[in-house]
Amino acid sequence: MQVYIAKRLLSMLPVLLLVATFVFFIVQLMPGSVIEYMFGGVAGEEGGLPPIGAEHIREELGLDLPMHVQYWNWLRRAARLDFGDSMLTREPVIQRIIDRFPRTLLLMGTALVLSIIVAIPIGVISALKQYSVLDHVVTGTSFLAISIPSFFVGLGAVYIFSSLLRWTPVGGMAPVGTTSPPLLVRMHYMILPVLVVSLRQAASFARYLRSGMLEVISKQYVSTARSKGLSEYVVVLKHALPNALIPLITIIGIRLPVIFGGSVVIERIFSWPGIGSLTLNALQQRDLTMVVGINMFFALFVLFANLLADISYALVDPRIRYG
Amino acid sequence: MINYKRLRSLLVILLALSMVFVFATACGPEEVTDDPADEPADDPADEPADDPADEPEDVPTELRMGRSNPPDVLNIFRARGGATAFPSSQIYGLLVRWNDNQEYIPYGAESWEVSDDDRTYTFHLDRDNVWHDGEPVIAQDYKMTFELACNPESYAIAYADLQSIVGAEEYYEGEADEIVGIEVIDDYTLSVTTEEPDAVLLLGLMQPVVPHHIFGDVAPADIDGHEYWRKPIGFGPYKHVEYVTDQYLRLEAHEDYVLGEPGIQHVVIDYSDSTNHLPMFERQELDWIRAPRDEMDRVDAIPHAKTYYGGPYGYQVARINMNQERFQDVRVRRAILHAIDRPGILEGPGHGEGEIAHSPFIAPWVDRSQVVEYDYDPDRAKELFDEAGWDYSEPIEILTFDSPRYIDIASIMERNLDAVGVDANITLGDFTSMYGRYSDGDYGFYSGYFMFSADPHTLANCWSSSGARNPETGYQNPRLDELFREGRATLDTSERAEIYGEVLGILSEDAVEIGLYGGDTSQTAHENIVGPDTRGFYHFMQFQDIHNLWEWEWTGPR
Repeated sequence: MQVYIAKRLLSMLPVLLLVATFVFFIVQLMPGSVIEYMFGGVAGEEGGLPPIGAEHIREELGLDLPMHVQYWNWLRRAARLDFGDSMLTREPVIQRIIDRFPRTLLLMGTALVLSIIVAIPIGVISALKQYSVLDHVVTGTSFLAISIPSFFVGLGAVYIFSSLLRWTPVGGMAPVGTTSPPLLVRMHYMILPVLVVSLRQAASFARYLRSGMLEVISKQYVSTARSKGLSEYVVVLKHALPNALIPLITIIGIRLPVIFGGSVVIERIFSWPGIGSLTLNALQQRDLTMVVGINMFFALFVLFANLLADISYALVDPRIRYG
Repeated sequence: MINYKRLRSLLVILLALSMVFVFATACGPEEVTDDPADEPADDPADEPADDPADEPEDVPTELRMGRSNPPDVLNIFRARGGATAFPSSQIYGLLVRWNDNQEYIPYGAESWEVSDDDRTYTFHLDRDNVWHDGEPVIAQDYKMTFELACNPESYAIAYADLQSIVGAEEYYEGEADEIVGIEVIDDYTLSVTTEEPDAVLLLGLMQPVVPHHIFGDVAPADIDGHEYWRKPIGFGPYKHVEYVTDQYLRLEAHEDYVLGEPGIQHVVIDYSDSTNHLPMFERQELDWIRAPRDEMDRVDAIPHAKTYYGGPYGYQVARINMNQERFQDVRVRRAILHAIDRPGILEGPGHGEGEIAHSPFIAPWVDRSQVVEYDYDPDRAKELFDEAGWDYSEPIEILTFDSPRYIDIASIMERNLDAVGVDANITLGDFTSMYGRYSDGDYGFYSGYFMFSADPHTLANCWSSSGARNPETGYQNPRLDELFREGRATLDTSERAEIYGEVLGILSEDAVEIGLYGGDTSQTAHENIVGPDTRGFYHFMQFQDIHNLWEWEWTGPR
C-alpha cells in the first residue's frame, strides 16, 4: 500500500505541471490585464497612469518580462510551494486560499455529506421497491433535480424561502457586519445553499446507488444469503449495500472537481465568501498569480481526494489490493 | 468478500469527521481581519442591531449599506476604481471640496487666497483638524501627499493633474527630491505655485491626504507594501475599524471630524452580490441599497423604503476608433449618429429616465448652445454612408460587456445599423477584457459607460492630441488643442464657459462619439434615515450621491 501511495504521489507531479502550464498560458492569453482592472475601474475621462508610473508598476508586477520568463519565475517559486503574491492586493496567494477554502469546504463538504446520507436510503429503497409508486416518485424527482441547473434552483430558492416566506437569510455566512455568529445562526445561513447543492448531488448519487443495488441484489451470493434464512435487513446491509457502494465511491471521487467547481456559481448566488467567489473575482481582475494559484490548489485537492477514494476501496473491499 | 466491519468503520469515521468538520469550521475563527488582535470574538460591535445604547429611543446607531464590489486595496496611490472610491472618500480627507454647485469650498483648508498673477495659492489650514489617531493635520501632510501622487515609484497617479506645479516635472523625471512649487510656510500654511495660471489646480489638489507622521520616513517604493493600508488613518468623517476581506468594512464616526461630527455612529458596508441587496433590504438586513431600476415597483411596495432620485454622473456612450481609416470620414460618424435610435435606447434599456447625451455631460455652467444634435434618421444615415463611399461588405464589431443593460443597448445598435445596410455584430466580454481592448486601441466600436467630471478640462485627456487617453480615440484637432490650453490658463468661469462651449460645439460637429444617454440614478434608504442627496457628483473623493454620508441621521427606529 505504501509503495502504491508513493507511486500515486509521484504521478501527481506531471499532472500538476501540466495544469500549471495550461492555466498560466490560458490566463495570459485573456485580453486585458490586472493593470487595466486597477486603473480602468473608473472608466472615466481621467488620464490614467503617466508613462513612467505605468512602466514602474509593470516592472514591479513582472509584466514587462517575456511570457516564458514570467512562467519560469513562477514555476521556480511554485516548486517551493510559494504561489507568489496577489498582483492586486499583494497578499500571499496561499494565505488568501487558506482563508477562503475552509468556508467552501464547510459549504460544499456539508452538502456532500448530506447528499450521501440522503442518497443511501433513497437509492436502496428505490432499488428494493423497483417499479413501485415510491420508486417512480423517487426516480421522477431525481431526474427533475438533476435536470434543473443549480443556479436556477438557487435563485428560485432565494426568492421563495428568503424573499417570500422569509424563513432563511438571503445570503452570506453571518449577519451583516459579523464574523463569528453562534453555531445555530451559522447553520441558519447554511441551510439554503447546502440544500440547493445537496439536492442535485443526492439525486445523482441515489440514481447511481439504485443501479448498483439492482445489479447486486440479482447476484447469486445475495440469493444464497437469503436462502440461508438471513433476515432481509442483514442481506441488504451486510451483503448488498457494501458492494453497491463501491461504484458510488468512484463516482464521488470523480465528481469532486465538479462539486467544488460548482462553488463558483453557488457562492456567487448566496454571497458565500469562499474560494469559488475568490476564483471568479480573480479571473475578472486578471490577477494571474491568484488564478494560477487557486487552480493549482484545486488540482492538488482533487488529486488527493481521488487518492483517498482509491485507498478507501481497500477499506471497503479486502479483495482490492494495491502495490 | 466484503469486510462488513471495515465498511462500518469507514462510515463511522466519515460521520465523525463530518461532525467535527462542521463544528470546527462553523465555530472556528476562519475570518481574515486586517488586524486580528483588535477583534475579540465577543466584540459587542459584532451585534449591530442590538446595540444597548439604542434601546432608550430605539434609534439605531448603525447604518448597513449594501454594495457589490469590495475594495481590493485601500492604497489610494494605486487604486482609484469605484470599489475603492467610496470607502476612501469616508476615511481620507481633502484640502478642498465642492459645494452643491461644484464650487470649491473649505475642507482641510479653512481659507485660501490667490496671488495677483493667478499662479500662487496660499492655503490656511484648519488648526482643529486632526487625524483619526489624534495627531494634528499639518502642511507637511499635504506636501508629502501631493509629492507621492507625482512620484513614479508610488505610481504617479495624479501627475497629470498636478504637472503644472513648479518643479513637478523635474520631480517626476527623478531630477529633483521635492516639488519646489509646493511650499510649507509653517505647520498651518501651505502654498502651491504653478508655472502658468491653472484653472484645474484645485481639482488636481483634491487628492486623498495621508499622514506625514506615518509615511514621512518611508521610501516611495515601500509605500505600497506598508502595513498602514490594512487599517488606514485619515481625517475623513469615518475611521476604519475593520475590513473582513470581501465581506464587510466597518467604519466608526470620527468625532473630531473637521466639518462636524457624523450623524451616524457606525457604518457597515456589506459586500454581497447586488442581486441579494433588494431582498436583504426587504428583510431589513440592510438599510441602504441601490435597487435595480426595473425593480422599482417592488421597492415602492416596501413600507419602510424611501427612494431618492437624482441626475446622472456618467453616460452610456459608444466610442468610434478614428485610428481606423473607415471611421475617419466625419460623414460616416454622422451617419452612425443618425442611424442609431437613441430615444429608443433611452426608453428601453434606460427605462426612460435620463436624457440623450448629445454632448458629454460636464459642468452645467458650460455653454451648450453650439452643440449639434443628431436626430434618429435612418434615411439620412443611408445617404451619408453612400456619400462617404462606405464599404457595406465590411462589418462593424460592437464591443461591449456581458451584462443585460449593455447587451440590450448593443442589440438595438446592431439592429439599427443592420437597418441601414451596415453589417454589425456584437462581441461580449467582461469589463477587463473589453476595456483592455479599448485601451489598446483594438476596437472599432466600443459601447461602454463613462463617468464625467466636474471640470470640462478633463475632456482634454481624450480629445486633446497630448491627452493620455487620446491614442485610444485617434482624434486630433489643432483648434481643440488651442482651446484646451486657453481653457486651462483662464480662471474666469464665464470665459471658460465660452471656451469649453466651443469645445463642445467642435466635438459634436465632428461627431467624435455616439453619446447615448445619461441615466438618472437612485438610492433607496430606510424611511427613518434623513440626509441622502439627489445631487450626484463623480469624484473619487466626493462620491456619487452618497458623498454626504456624514450628514445622514437616523430619526426613528429601524
